[in-house]
Amino acid sequence: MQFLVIGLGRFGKAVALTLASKGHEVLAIDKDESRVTEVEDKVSQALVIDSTNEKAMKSLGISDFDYVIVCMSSNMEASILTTMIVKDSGAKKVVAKAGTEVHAKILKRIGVDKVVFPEAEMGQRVAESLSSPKIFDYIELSEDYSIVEIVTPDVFVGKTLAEIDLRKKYGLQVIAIRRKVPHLNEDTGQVGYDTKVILAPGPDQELLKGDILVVLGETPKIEQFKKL
Amino acid sequence: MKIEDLLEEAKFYFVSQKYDLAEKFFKEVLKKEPGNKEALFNLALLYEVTNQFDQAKEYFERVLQVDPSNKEARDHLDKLTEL
Repeated sequence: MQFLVIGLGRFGKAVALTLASKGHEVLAIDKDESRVTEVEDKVSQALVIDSTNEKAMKSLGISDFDYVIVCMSSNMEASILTTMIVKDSGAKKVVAKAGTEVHAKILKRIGVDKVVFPEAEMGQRVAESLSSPKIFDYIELSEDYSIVEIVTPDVFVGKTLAEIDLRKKYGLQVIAIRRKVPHLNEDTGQVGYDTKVILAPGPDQELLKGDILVVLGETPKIEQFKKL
Repeated sequence: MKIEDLLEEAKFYFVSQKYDLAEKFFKEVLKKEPGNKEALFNLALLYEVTNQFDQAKEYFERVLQVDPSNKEARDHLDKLTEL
């Protein structure tokens, strides 16, 4: 996949380098030359560009990238302007880092696909992994083992855990299932839903569309499973 | 079938977790009445429940086109936009 990473502070740099290490094509830009120099050997291309300069930005062919990631939360004005420019230039998907709630609200209103709060997220990640509305989380337990949350692949919908037998086929253990359960409010006639966590599900547990499986196993095997 | 009956049927399937059937009936309603707010909202909710977030967002946006002050749709949309 092709990624454009804008802003190479601590967060942007980590995003750019991680994506590049996973084999993705990454164009990393920042207006600060020293930051660009730091990553230029490790990503596909790194350029010194002021992302609030509309003309310069349009020359990058923004619509060719699968994701544009705006990582400049400390300067809210520049972050918003940059986001507007990339949206205007036909970006397919925009992810933007927010520094404050207000910043996040504005980013949402201008049509960002995902807003991230990395600082807050780091601390809350583990605690929330079983209860948050996020569809996907990843906890590395050691170099070899991870816990991953993954949406039930369509091929498993309607089958029981015994039938899919992840332990035998992939060496993975389903430690919990997070499921949204719809219900009808008798007074209003409206449908709502609750999120239910099924811990240590038994072999007869049937999987429904939209179930999130919390899976423990060896990292390479998880990677294999994610491709299903 | 009348729109109200289709909606009842769709909601019945929705809460019974028969999502494919529920989706079919909500879409039937929208074929007859493309701006039906209840069908749009429930369909968005169905996509949210089944983790099809892009579609969920699309339908919550359609609710807001019909009813720009719909706070519930706005709240869902905001939540879906957060990672």
